[in-house]
Amino acid sequence: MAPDAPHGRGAAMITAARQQIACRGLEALRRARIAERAPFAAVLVLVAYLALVPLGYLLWHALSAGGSLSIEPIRAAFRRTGIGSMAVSSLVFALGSSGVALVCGTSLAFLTVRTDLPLRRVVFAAALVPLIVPGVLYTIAWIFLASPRTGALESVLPVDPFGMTGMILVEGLHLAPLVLLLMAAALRSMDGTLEEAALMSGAGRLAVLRRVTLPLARPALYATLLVMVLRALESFEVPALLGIPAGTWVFTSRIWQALDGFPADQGRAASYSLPLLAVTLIGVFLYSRLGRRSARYEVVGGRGTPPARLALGRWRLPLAALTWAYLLLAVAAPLGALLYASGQPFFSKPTLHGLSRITGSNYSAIFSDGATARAFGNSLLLSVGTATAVTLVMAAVAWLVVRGRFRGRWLIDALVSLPLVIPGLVLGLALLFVYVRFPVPIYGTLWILFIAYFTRFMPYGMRYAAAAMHQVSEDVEEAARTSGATAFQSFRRIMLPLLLPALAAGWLYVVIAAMRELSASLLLYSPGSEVVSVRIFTLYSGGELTQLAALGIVMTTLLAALGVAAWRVAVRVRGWPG
Amino acid sequence: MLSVAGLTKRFGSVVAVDDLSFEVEAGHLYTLLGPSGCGKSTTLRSIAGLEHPDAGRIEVAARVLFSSADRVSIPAHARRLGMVFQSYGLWPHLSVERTVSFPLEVGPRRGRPPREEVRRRVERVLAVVQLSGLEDRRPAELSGGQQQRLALARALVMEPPLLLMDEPLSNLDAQLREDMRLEVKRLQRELGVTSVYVTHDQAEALALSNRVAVMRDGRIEQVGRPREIYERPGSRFVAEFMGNPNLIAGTVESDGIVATAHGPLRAETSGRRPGARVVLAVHPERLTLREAAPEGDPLHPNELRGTVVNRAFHGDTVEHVIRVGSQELRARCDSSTSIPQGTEVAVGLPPESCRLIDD
Repeated sequence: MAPDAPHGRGAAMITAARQQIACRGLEALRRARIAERAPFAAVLVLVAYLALVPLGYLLWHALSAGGSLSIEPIRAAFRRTGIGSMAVSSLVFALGSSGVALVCGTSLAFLTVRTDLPLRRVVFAAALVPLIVPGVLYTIAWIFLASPRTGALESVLPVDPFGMTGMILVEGLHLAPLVLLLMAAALRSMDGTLEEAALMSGAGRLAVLRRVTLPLARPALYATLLVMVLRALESFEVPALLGIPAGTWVFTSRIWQALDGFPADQGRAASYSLPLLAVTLIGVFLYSRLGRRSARYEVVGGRGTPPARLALGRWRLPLAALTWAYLLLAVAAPLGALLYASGQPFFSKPTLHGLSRITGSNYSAIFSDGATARAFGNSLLLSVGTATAVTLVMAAVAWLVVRGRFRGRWLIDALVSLPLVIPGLVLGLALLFVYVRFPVPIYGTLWILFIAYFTRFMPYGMRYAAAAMHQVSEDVEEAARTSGATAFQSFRRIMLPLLLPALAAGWLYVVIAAMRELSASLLLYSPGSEVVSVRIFTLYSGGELTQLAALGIVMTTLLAALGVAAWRVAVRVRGWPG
Repeated sequence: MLSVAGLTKRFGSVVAVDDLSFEVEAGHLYTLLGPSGCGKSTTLRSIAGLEHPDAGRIEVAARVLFSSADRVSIPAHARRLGMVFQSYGLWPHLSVERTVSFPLEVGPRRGRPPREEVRRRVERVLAVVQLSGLEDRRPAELSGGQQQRLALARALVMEPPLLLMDEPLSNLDAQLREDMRLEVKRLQRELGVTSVYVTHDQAEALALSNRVAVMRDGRIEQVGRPREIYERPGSRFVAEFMGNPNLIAGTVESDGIVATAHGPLRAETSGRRPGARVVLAVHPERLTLREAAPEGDPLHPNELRGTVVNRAFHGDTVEHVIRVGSQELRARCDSSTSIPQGTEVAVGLPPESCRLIDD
């Protein structure tokens, strides 16, 4: 045994040393894990707070009476108004306007992307303009155009804008550009070989359209329809401005009515919010299911060819005329009505004679009127601030979700996406519940609007950032690391330059969306913290229509400039989301 | 069977196909071979009717499909030709069965076969391409080779007078590509369907074709049987494209002798006059190789002195790169010959394997 002893001792020592090293290694690893997990946990807490707390307050207010759970408030709310007729008109409105949008948008997408329509690029760009115009402004422009007695088109277009028909048409025309954008992307990405193969099989142009093109576009059509229905359900401007005067009520206008009265009945508003929230939740769930199903439609094989353009032949000019008529009606007429009114000393039915009264006083009033000027400042500060914060925070969150190796990454993703199901009005209401009696004075300042905007737009910031990170392959980052770059260096010198265009596009998107936001702002602003969209709404209520028009024209011009910038940046990003 | 005459297609100022004419015999597989951008795909798509040529005439089985002179242009769907696409063009929403029955369901109404016959023909063609039993699968649920077979079945089901194939195997990995190459050949020969095949892969062209046309800049550089094209390339371009790296420039010295930078070499001069500038071509597998020290090992006729500068083992063969003067030659030896780098060697160019190309 003796000769073995040192050997044995040596072995024991080595084992001990190994264990020590292993322990130290584990300890280091554990510390590294904690270091990695700390930001992850922080992010989780942040997004959970933003997404869940307001919903919790909302549920509590809707489902409690005198400090305990009860469905009595809901029963009372619906006993008073009747849920049936409200649900029906909400549905009619949502389906009707989605239908209008889908027909107009898809036709335009097909004509501009897949045919030899003359001036198709111009038509495409022009048709997108209403996407930039805030909903409140677009709706008011249609009131200018079509309202009885004062409307410019009143004799040409005898449709009363107030009431269901008007609501469906205006909302439909306002949503159509979004359909155009989504369907154009779907049609453009189609593999032309699939149609060529059908042609070679002996199918004529119409048979190819019916048997190959249309079935392939169907998943995109369903998804688009769903998005439109959700948008219309959440829509506030059109039901409030066109529905309420005619006594046509949908969920959002009821919520508004409960809050706008005196005294504001927040409990009743919360009760009306619940069914709406349930429907949007189901809608978003269906949408994600649809996405998974369309994966089965994935095209096999390698590189395809871009789809060929259909020659319209003798239909070319009639169809061109039809698209121009559409542009005249949906784009030029509303903007023209605003522009005309913005140059008038008082609001009146447009006439040629009116052009002699033209004045710039409404435009100078934007800067001389204290409330309007302040609203402009607030809007700029808030939208730029929100966009910057959302972009920076969501870039970090996306990095953790896309590149991290944590269990529970899906949870962050789900929480960040949750605000997508919350209509703006409902979010505003929920935040009121949270912050009205908050110890820190947030209510009554711009901060509450900042929180609302951040919550509403973080899903979009996340999408841009995550899509960009998915596109930069992990190899690129690893190549930087193996070339000797530290994690920070590889992020700053490799990842950041690659991500920057996509982040810039996302930033611009949020700036635009925040500038247009109305429904949440309307519930959360206080005197001094108005934003432009709220100012437009109050000017309308106060009947100051010409000043409103001038403010609207300035805002639309600013948004259009931002939109063109966003487009320019996005074109440089390959395969940009949406 | 297929006759193409004076075919011309321009894209803007670029002439993709330049006054091209060729004929394909019934039952033949005719390959258009060339590098990318040589106009081979444009030619095929013009025959298919997917591209509108600027000039020329295309006839299949005495039926005029296109003629710029007579202002005839039959649309693609009325030509009734079968086509296999590079990316297959399989419809993701249709099952195997529906994909194959599609061509029988969409033609002119009076030409459509009754349902019973459709079923029988679908069944038969699926059996021919060995897809029986997979009728209900979607394209995404098929393997690469099965997708390829499905694309073939769809093209064959209407028994077209002419089958067009546009690089149909280029999306498959190497092993499968070789299997499918034999499969396509078997099908084409068994069914006797006249075919035009487009590829940039010379090995594929040699293995499949009855005739190969090597294309360059929208024109046919050389047409012939695969062996002719391989062994007797008509130009330096064809020789290089067929993968021959051993090209030695020279001039005819006298009958049977060519003067080169490496000294005179014997080769069949086929009546070329002395002074004619030529390129001497020898395929790598024809070169002989033996170790030979510069002192003490005299050269045999048509041998050149060189040094092995690189060597690669391929399994069945060993490739040697030999520096001879300022030039590198490649020799592909059977795997029993393997000479280390740096060794002085004698490279033999057997006169009967030396082909002359006019330069």
